[in-house]
Amino acid sequence: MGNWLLEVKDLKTYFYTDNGVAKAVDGVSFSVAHGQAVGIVGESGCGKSVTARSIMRLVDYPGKIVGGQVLFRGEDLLAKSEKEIRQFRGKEIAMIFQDPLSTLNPVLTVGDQIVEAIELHHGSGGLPVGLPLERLNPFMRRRMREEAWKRALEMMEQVGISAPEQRMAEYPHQFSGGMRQRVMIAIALSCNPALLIADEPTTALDVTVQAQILELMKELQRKLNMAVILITHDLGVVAEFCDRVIVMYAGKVVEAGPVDDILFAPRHPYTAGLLRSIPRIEDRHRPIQTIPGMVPELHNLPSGCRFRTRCPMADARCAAEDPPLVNVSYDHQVSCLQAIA
Amino acid sequence: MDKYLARAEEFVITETLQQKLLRVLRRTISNIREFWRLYRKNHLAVIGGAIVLAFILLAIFAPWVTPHDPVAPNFRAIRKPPVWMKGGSWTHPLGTDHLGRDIWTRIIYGARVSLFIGFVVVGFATVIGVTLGLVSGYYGGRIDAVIQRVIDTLLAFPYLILATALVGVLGPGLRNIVLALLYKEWIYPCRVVRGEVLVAKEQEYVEAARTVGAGNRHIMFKEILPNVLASTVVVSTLRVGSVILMEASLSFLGLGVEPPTPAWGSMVAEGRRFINTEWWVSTLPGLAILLTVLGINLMGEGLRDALDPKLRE
Amino acid sequence: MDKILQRLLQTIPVLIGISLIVFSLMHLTPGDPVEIMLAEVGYVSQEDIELMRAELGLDRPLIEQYFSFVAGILRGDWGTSLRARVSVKELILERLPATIELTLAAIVVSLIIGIPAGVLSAVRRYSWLDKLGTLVALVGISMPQFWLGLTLVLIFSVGLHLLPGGVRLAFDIPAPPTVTGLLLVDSILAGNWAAFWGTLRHLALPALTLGAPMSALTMRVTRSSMLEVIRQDYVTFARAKGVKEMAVIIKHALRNALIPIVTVVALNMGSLLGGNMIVERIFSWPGLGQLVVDSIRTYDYPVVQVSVMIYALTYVAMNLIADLLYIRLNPRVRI
Repeated sequence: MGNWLLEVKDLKTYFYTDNGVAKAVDGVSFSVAHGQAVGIVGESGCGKSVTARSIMRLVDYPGKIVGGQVLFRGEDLLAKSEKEIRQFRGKEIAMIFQDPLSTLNPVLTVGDQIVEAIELHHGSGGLPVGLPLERLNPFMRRRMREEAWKRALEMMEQVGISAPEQRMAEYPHQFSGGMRQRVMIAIALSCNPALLIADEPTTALDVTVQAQILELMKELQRKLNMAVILITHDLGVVAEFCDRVIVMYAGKVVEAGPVDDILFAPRHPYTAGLLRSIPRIEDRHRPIQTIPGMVPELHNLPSGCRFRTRCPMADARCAAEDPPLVNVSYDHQVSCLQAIA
Repeated sequence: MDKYLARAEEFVITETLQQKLLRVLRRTISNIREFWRLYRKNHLAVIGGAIVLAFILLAIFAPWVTPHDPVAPNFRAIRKPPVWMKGGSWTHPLGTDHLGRDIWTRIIYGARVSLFIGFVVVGFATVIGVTLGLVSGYYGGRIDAVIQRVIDTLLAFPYLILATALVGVLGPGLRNIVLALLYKEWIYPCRVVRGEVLVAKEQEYVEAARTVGAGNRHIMFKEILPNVLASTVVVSTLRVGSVILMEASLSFLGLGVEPPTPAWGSMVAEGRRFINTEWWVSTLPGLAILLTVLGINLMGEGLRDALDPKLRE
Repeated sequence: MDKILQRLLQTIPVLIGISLIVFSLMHLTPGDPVEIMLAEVGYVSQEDIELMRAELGLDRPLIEQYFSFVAGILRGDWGTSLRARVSVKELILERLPATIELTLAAIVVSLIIGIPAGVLSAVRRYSWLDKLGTLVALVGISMPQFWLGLTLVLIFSVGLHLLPGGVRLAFDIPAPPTVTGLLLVDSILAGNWAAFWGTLRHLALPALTLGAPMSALTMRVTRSSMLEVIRQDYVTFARAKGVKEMAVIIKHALRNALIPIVTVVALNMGSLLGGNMIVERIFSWPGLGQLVVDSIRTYDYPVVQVSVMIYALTYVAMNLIADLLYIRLNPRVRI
């Protein structure tokens, strides 16, 4: 078990709203190995983003992590103090978000925002790690600032931004969508994290730009030997990028397995439904099939299997019993009574 | 679109006057019930409303609430402390001033002046402001530009300074105070209504009304006005508090209703001379202002939450 | 640059409007202003009335009067006080520093109280601290300023003997030589620390009274603005970078939240300026606010006109500064 970089065990994150408790993440478990790319897929509102934020303990009010463990290199992040967790954020685990315009601070220059990330963790430059910046003397501080600035320039170049010197002095609104996403990647990767969580990193972008950004992420992942958790609703992106796929529905993992198994031999009816709803060029005359109905409201879930209200195979047993997640092969798990019967 | 259909139905279906009245009444009652359900949730707003209601009732029934005269001196009971202090009695629960006048009585009678000015000024200002706001927002163009420049100019004058100068120029008296405050007060409902109209103008139901051939005046008063009413009510309520503060400040500066009519501001000003010894003479009327305005503001915020969720912070 | 120029041009109609309103003040009087003014003095002859009318230019057509009024203002010839028989300019310039010092102090007080309280309230939203803070702020905007002033005097001067309850500086402390007229600045320039400390103590209660409603307002605006900003992705992203919570709040959230705060605070500057009259009266502060009230009561119209105008111009200037600050704070509108 020691070879896992990240193990999430029975994670529960609930939102306490006026309408009741919404179980956005309800007992999610999965693991990520060093250098592995794991995709988490599902429709919007199924708990993907909340899972990602829970790993970094970034859940906002009224959400609360109520149970489980997040083991990073064997250490439980949920048991750490606010100060200790900061040592992991950005340095060990970095995160990028969907909309780069709202994710970059509009009143700070792009350069400032990259330099900030680097300075926080004294990422490079051979300076002693863990020394609080405030206590360093002015000379050291200036040297650090210069080092950080140099490193920021390097990062800008690495993510493919031309004229980085000049662009570092500009504000986010002066960048195009794709360029902004590159800046965000530069910020996230500036401290060589071991794990990158990318929450729908390409959804807000044009199709052509999407491909470029994915290509860039793939390249950097290989170069930095970094594990990636990619959250998306786009199975095409998953096929291109991931080694392993986790399918989530209404706060639970319904299926998990190697990317080929999931794409070509899905066992859960929800996964199958997601795959059928992808438009394909081969059979463009076939109408696109969608999954009927909508994701149930999280504070008002059906009994038994959560998917049964939309499932073509559901029967009385599905209403009575909450299906467990069981292995169908050594690395493929499914949570469906019909599939394992 | 639904709205349009509902309206079309109203045009088409012929109903007797009686049926119509009944329908409107029923709808009104259910609206009020829904409003009260929302309003009740905010406990502070309920308390605020109770305070305001209490002051209104006290002001109306003043002669029945207190046996004392608010104006006539009573030299047998000069500078009596409030009941909770040594030497106080229930005859004068909040004590008396240097002329032996009962503070409680004067506060109740003072409420008449404050509430009257508050409601009358805001009432007139709302009528003027809403009309100008509708015109300004609906027609735009030159009328709008002129009204907006006038508002900008009036905004530049600190309210109290303008009001003071105007009362000084017009002379004292209730009517002139109302006029002096109205001079600027109308701009607040006007600005709110204009903003709302600009939004409402683009809505589908206005388009729909126009396509069925409704005239400008019909659209303004029958279609748009009901939709901006909620925010007008909220703003006007909050403004009553501000106007009461203004009136109190004016009378504190000696430019309010003429003595000896009791007004809260002038009571504070008169009592200032005795602040070292009889502190209650000036501080208690001030407390009455604070309570009233606080009650109105709490009420206004409650109204805002209940009537117009989009105005919420 | 264009934006700034455009903004400056926008003030022109407002300035004209201000001059019109100020000019018309004297003519709104029901009856003859001159007779009212002179009635204060006592018995006057018809000749005196004519003389005064000529002095004020009231015998000329209205349009001509207006233009000579505006020309006079622009030339710096602001007329003569009817009561004190000195030039209005002299009278006002003598009072202005006291008011400026008080107003600036009140602004500082309201920002020092309002912004941290609003930030704290937003960060701990729905806690008892937030609820208490919100209620206190509501009381703050519901409170008559004169009552707050009196209560503060009652507690801190009469009761506890902690702080002086009036005037700018005690008589037994020698005042510093006048350079700027602002006693705090002058005493620093003169190195007179006794006067500096004394001025500060005298300034405390009036500045607190004048700044209180503004603090309450600033607190409310800061709170709602912060609540809006804290929800944004860039705040979460800053946390994800590992930025300390304090730095997240101040560097990332507050800097963005300040943008709307500046505008709202500037728009409500009128209440602060109007409050001058009340506060100066309570604390016997020899400033412009007292001058306005006194001249209104004695029908000293030239003084009233110019001082009311100065207040209006100050408001316009403050809003202009706020707009420039807005452009400075917000890179998105910068060119």
